[in-house]
Amino acid sequence: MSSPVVADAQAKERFRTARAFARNPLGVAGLAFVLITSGCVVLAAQLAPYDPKAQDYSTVLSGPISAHPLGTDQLGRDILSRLLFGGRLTLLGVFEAVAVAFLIGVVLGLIAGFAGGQVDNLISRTADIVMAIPAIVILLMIYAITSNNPHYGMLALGLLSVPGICRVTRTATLAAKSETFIDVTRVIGMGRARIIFGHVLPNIWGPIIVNTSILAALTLGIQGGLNYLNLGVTPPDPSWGGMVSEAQQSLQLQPWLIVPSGLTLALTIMAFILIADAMRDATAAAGARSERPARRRKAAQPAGPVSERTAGPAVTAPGPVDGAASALLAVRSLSVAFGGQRVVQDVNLTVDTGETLGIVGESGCGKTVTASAILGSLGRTARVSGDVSFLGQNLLGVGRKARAQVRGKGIAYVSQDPMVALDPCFSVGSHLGEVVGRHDGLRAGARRARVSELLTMVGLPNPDDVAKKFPHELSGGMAQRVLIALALAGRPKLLIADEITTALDVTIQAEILDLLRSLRDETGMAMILITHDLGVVADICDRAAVMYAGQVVETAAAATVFLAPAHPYTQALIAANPIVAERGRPLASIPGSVPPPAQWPASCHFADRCLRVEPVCRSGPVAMSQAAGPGQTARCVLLNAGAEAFPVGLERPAKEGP
Amino acid sequence: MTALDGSDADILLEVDDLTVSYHMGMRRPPFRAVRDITFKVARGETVSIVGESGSGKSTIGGAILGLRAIESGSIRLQGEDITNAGIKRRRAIARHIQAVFQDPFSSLDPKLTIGESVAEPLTIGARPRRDETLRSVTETLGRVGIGADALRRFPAEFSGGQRQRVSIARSIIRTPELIVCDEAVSALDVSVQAQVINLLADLKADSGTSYLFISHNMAVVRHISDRVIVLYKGRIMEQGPAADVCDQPAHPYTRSLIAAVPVPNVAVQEQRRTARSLAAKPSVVAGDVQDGCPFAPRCPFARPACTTSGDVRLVGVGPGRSAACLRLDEVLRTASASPVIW
Repeated sequence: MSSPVVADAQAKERFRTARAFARNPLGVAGLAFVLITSGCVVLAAQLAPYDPKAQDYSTVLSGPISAHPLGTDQLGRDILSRLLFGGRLTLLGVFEAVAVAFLIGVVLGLIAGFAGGQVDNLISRTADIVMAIPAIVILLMIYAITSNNPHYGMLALGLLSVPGICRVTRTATLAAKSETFIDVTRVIGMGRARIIFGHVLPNIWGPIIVNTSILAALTLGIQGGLNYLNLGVTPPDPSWGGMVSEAQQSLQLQPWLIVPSGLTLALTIMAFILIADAMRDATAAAGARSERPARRRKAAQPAGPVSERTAGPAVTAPGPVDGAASALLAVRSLSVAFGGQRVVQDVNLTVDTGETLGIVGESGCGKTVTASAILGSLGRTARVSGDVSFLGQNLLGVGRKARAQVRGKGIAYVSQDPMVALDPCFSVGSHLGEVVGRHDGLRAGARRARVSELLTMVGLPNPDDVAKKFPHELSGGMAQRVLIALALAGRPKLLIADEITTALDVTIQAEILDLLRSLRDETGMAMILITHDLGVVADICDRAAVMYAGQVVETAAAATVFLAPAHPYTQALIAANPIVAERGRPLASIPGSVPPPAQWPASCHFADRCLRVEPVCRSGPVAMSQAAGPGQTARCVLLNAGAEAFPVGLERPAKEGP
Repeated sequence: MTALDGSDADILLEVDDLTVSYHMGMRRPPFRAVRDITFKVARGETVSIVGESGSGKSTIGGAILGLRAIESGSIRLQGEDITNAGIKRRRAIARHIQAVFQDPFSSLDPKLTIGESVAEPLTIGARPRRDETLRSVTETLGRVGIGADALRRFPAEFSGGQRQRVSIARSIIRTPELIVCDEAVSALDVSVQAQVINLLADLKADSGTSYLFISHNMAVVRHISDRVIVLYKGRIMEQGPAADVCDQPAHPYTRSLIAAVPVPNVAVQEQRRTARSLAAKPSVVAGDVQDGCPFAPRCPFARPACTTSGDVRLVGVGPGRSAACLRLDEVLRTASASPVIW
């Protein structure tokens, strides 16, 4: 952290967690309470109206009166003064214990987590042993040996609390250590101490502070109990726990007496807990922003008012959806918005029976949101408009039950990450059995037979063995096959496969694509393949829809898309592929990156990155229009501007090997 | 791009019989991630290590970068042995070898500004002047196409491609001779991937940097490499000049790896698929191989002898080129009959 540029840093970002904490009223209240209480206690000598030990037998057990706002005890001592002075011993004790636990725990936790191996073993096992020691026995012994010294007891309590903080720190360190930026620090030759204090510690403060605050609350509770037993405090010296004990002795004569001390203790404990809670939320909120973007967007804020009318290219006629009447799936003018932000605009798609459509584009272009909108699985924050008709039924209009009917039996979905989609607690057989039971209502033997049949269909040898396996025992390719079997269980007419080969090795990807091809031929089902890989589209799709920044920019037969791409984005996407490029020559890259939805213009979304942009491109929304190829449409105003408009993709026919 | 077959003067990095194992717990035998890996990287050369997940390609990078303990074998940088170097030695080595990793979202410390992250290599074992650092950082960020306004901003504000550029800036700020790129473009979208590949090529043209490019993407490897090493289950299956290995693969594994890449052209992909299905014969060998060719259970050319003949050694199949296969003659005969279509 000694980089000279440090001073330039914007405090705003650096203290993101602190700012998130400041937005939590309960946390701020808790922190304020602890700070004010501590301040009053420190200034007890100035604030207290009486000597805490001064007895006044003329006003015993008075209750709140003007001379004694919190009343007096059985010896006529002022409760407020005793509370203020008693807090000194109490809060100092908590501070001592927590400081010991924090300092030793954090250091040991960092060492254990960072060093690993035998060092970690030694520290962790020792921590386990310390945790097994009955604290109260040790404390009683220490108070006995040190003739009731208030400090040794609390220091011992702190030592006994070290394992808790140590474990939390160790776990957080292990997580931070696996981050690539820690590898980077080692690659640049950074020393261990600087890695730990410059990179690990700043990233793990959150959980440490949360647990320290909880520890403070616990310690205060334990200490209150000890003081109640007159351990660690010698009457007539005041302490909060001791005052509760005194109040209890006169509970029947003056019930009020328990209120000031008991409430102070309870409120302070609560304040520590509130701080911990707020801190945990703040850490999570600050962390969420720096994490990678979620594949599926979840709208955090409530959905604002959204015009249900399709915006953007308002000129679009119900349009270029030919043969829509006979189509299996027809999507018309589909728009999706989250919190007023439109992320999918005016999507028109059709899928015929037995046809395979590829939806292709880079991340952030709305491919998955489109699929989720078709499935009706977007959640309540999404505003969906337009028309999704499946076998002539408009899915956007029907209720949840009718939707659920369509899902699985009509339309099935396979997601990208098979390991997330499978529940680790259940075997492959029980996953499939449940779905088979729902669709076919079969019992035991017949159900097993169907499960076996499904697993055979997806090319898994020894289906009965596979059925007994649990998700963690499957390889990525096998797990993806199981998911496909799950999707096939309802004999769907349309299978939506969302980036299902992205996480797989190419050889496994080829096998899965072969499987999909043979399943399509066997069952005659239609498919929508969502992918960012044009090669996958070329391999298996009949038609392709290219999406860019929330819009479909081109649709055509797959062969046409590659041989005569109409839209500049499609051309650029093909040209950027290293397979197409000549070795040793620069790749035809597209400048910039896909803009976030908030920056999408009303006019052509691609204009800012387009090499052939002209002023007319920015003049207004662009509609889909007919392009050169049969059934080819594209969203480009320059579409018919002449043959020279299509240089990039056409120039590079696939090359033959030598 | 000289010294393809290694005239010593131009050799930057030499890896000899490298073996790295991972401990799998007290009661289990260690797992050999890579075994007996030998290769060289010449000055200004891009050597790619390609293979599927679990092939051990990142382990080799990790061993070179000092992130993995080396069980046996040696790594030499400019003739000097850097095997299992300690922290102090590493600090000196860091001047010469840098790295760019795969995940653009975790390779920058979220708590540091872009400027701090990029400046960090300069501050190792030195206290450079503030204005010098600032100038150097600004200039380096400029070389990777990131404006100076990024200096004080945090990684969370940047896209994956931009972060990868920042990582590259951090790796080149001390002008190392070798940059290990561990799946450096794999997490990026195609258009951004092309930008970053071009950037790496430009930097190489400017400063003669060597790259050890670790990737699973045969198309990217084919485009950027001078030489390619094909790895399977921790062993080198084939290695040689990129043009030869990618366009006339000798080893059955390399062939299957290339055949599996889908190309963005319907007609060509159809041809490739047909060729692939014709070539695909189930292997006559089943189960894991303990002693012999690790690829045998997946290999259409395999014979029972492939699994019992002990280690399969790399044998020369052309200038600067070798493959580890007992049935090379037959494979090459088949290869000339059905060349790879890209």
